[in-house]
Amino acid sequence: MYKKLLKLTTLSVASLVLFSACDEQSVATTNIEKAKLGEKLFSDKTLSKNKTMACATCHSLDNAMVDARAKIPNHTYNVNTGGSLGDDNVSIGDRNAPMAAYAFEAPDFHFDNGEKIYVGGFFLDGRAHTLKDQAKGPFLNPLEMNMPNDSAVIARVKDNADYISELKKLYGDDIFENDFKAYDAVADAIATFEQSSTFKTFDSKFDRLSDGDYELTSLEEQGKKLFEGKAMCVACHPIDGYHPLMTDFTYDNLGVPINKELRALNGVKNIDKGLGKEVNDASLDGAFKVSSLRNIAVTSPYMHNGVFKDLKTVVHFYNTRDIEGINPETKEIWDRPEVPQTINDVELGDLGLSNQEEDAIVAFMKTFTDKKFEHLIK
Amino acid sequence: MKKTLLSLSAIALLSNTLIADELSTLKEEIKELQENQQTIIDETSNDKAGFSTVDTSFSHNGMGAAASKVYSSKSALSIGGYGDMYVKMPDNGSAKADVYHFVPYIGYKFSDSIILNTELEFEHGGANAEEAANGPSDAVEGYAIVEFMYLDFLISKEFNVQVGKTLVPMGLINLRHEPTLFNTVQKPLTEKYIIPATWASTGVNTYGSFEDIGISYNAGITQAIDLNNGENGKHEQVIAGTPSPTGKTDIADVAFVGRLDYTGVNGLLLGASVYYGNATQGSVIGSSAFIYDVHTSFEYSGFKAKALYSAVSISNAENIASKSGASESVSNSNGFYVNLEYDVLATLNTTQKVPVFIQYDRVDPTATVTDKFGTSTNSLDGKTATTTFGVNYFPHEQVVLKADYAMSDVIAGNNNDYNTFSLGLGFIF
Repeated sequence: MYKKLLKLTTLSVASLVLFSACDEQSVATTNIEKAKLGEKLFSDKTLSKNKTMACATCHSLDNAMVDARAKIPNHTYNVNTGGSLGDDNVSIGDRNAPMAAYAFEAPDFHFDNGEKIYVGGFFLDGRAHTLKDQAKGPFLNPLEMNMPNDSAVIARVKDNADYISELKKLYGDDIFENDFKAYDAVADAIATFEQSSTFKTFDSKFDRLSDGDYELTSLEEQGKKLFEGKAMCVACHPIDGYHPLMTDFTYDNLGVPINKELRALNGVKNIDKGLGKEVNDASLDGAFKVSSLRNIAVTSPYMHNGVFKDLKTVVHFYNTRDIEGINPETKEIWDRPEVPQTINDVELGDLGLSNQEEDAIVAFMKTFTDKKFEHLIK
Repeated sequence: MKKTLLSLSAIALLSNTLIADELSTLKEEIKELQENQQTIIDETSNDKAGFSTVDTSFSHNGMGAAASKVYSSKSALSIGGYGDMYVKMPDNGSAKADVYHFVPYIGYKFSDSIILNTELEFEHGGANAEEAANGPSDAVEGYAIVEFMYLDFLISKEFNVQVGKTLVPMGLINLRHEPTLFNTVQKPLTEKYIIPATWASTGVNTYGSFEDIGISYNAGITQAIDLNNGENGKHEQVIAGTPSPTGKTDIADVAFVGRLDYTGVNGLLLGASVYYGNATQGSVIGSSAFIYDVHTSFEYSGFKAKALYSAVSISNAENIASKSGASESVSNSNGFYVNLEYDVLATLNTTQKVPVFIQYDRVDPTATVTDKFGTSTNSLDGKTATTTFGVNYFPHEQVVLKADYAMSDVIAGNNNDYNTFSLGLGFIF
């Protein structure tokens, strides 16, 4: 009798432990499976109208999560102009594809009541408030994947039997009863993939420095001091703390000139007002998201419209914008800002850096490169 | 005649009885008057402000002397408090002055067994709505709050019940955070990021002591912390999880808090405390928080030593990371500190004190963080070792002037270390 009771108790406890263990693993396991599904969706060109473009086209996993096509010789779109070629092989966007790595770390878009500024969000103008919202955008953008609506995307998803079974398993058997819900699930899976270790390695020389596994060269050390001091880079790209994202996630008008080369290709004539248009506030016209500087040395071209091709040019622009400096790429004086009335003239424009000091800052920023992308540094 | 005599005797007896009763009543009344008079003397003789001085050696259920005042007060109403302010001069930033705390304690005895105790706190100079709305971001730091407010039902030495918002009985500083009770200008980081002092929450707490064996205890149910907050994966995640000091706070989930102290040897305190409960206020299922500490202090002839180790363990932290959308959530934290102090005036015949001290405080608030995929990694965020040495001057047992030099070794990065020279003052009343 006692033995039976003991056996029964043991079995019950074992079942409970097993059940608990299964329950404990379920969230992580589900997320891992969502990320795997998201990885497939991220690279699936069939989800664009002409089946030529995927998320990974402009955010290449092998090319620091930016558009690699500009660097391919003889590619249809082989000039490094700053915009990305769309699925229709004709349209060219007016903005530089941002780096997707570490993007998930941005807080959701919000107005900071303490600082009285907009913070966070996705896309260069913050129009997507969350990472999942961002993932929904490119499918339906006529300049990008060019699908007419979310139902069309889901119809393509349904062409793949694996997608159907995996989405049902992860999001419920009824997920396809509503295209809106299914589209949301597709975006959620992609967003989950974008939160995986593929997008965050934190193993750059800068990170290894934090872990005590790297020592800066004298030039890099000089660059670090300038970055934190005279050049005032840390005002918007803080590097303190552990694993800093090197952005304060705010918005700023840096006085960037129009990218004439790009505009000549895409024919855009409107002024790009950035955040100002999104929040309907003229005082914020021309403000764009402060980008993370992680992998900055390998994510050319630069600025929201890709107007500068070389990182040294960017530093020189910050250094001499307001003193009629010469653009080393055009050999001419900096063009006037696209939106001159709201530019930041406090933290940049006339930094008084020497040419050698600019080199030191560039050398320091090269240490922000993930180990797997170090081979891309020129 | 006999009847007359009997009647007279009865009257005399009755009169004697009445006189005796009257005398007894008068004696009672005189005693009561004397007690009232003594109370009035107590309340007015020590100072002109209308309240008594603090018995700095008195502590009720481990709390500081000022916080314990209502328990020893002879009058129904008790007013006490403390304050501290400091100037800090870090070598990596600008010098700052801060009226850190001004804290009145107001207590009231409804009877000998029902007591109200409250702590009102003005921190960082108090609150200024206009500055909070329009001023610099530092202005937002100031606030005025009710730190604790509870009713205490005193039943016996061995068993009492507190109901309301109380200090969570963990660690050395949380219950005893008055500035005369710790020698550094700033509290140790271990009792900020691991034990999130000052930590108060709503619940029911039972406590008592067994003096013959030197044991005291606390055991109660209180609001669970909420680790699904804006600091997920960062060194401030635990402290950000304590109940908000203002507004309607969530109490969807509760936790167990317990503490055991041994004071059976003169001058020695040896104890431990635990917290166990859900890790969030209902937003995440299947994740629990376990916080514990072991602590000791010893005092002997001008010498004092204190040491504390504390750790936090969060089960299934990936559930929190997954729910919050943040990349990671803290799954393990730990920290410890050791503080040695010697009063250089200990051998002199004076009530003044000049303790010199050294403290080593090492905190690792993100020892491991876990992402939504269940992968745990070591993080260095907030990992700091601080060595502080300094001196206090007590011109009066309730007043302290402090000076210290803190050398902070920030483990992450290079050249992030910094040193801070601080001056402070504190008082209790």
